[in-house]
Amino acid sequence: MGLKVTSSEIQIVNSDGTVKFTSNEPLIFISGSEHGTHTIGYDGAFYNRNSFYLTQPLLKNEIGVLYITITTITGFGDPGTSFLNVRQPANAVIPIYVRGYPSGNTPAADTTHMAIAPIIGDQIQAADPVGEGYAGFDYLNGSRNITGYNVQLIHYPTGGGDRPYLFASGNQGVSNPTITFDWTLYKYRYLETT
Amino acid sequence: MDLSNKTFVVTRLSVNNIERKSVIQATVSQNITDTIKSQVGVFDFTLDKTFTGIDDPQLNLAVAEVLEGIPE
Repeated sequence: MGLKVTSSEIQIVNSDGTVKFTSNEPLIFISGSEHGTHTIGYDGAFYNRNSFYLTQPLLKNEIGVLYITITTITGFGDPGTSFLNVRQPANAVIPIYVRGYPSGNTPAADTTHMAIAPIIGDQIQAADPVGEGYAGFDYLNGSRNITGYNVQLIHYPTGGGDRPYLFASGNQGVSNPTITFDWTLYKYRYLETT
Repeated sequence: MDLSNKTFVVTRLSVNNIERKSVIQATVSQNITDTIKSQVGVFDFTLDKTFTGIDDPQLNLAVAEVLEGIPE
């Protein structure tokens, strides 16, 4: 193993003289992390939405890997313990309740999801899924620093007396859950090449 | 601040490995009984060191040192 300096780069070579790495290869490294606690619960609608914000934004040349650990759940029913104190990745929508059932001859499903979406300044609008029918994300301005995350409980179908549910130890599930979770965001920065 | 009979919890931690600093928020409570606590205050401060996470033992030591240095 050794270092070799040329006119254009620094090389790391092994004992055979083979170049294993050079200073021109882009690096990725841990630039920081953020940690906090957040709570989301039922607020009388078919869904709920709130946000947590970062102390230092996730820069556009950083990759964010978000984990959550649900620590407490309250609601109507027995939440069981399978969700508690398990660290899980949260860079996507997390299904917290899925119940399939036949509707006549048609398969149907009753679902609740917890979605965690990045906030880019005021650009992202998580639309009312009842009134608007979609959650809109505006990336028109290209890469931007991420300043926080929207957290949303989404229940479908939205009609009737349905409310958010959570998987439980019984068949029915916990209705109207209030979920508290610890969150950790690991930031990985890479060197942008032009 | 005398931390005797008090509890503190780090509620926010933001680590910047580039600038080698951490932004910390800690909540201090006075223990009234085993089950009753009275919140003393929420303290935000920055330290010129980094931590691996909110469960880093070095974090608790550093926070305790800062809190003990706050005048009553």
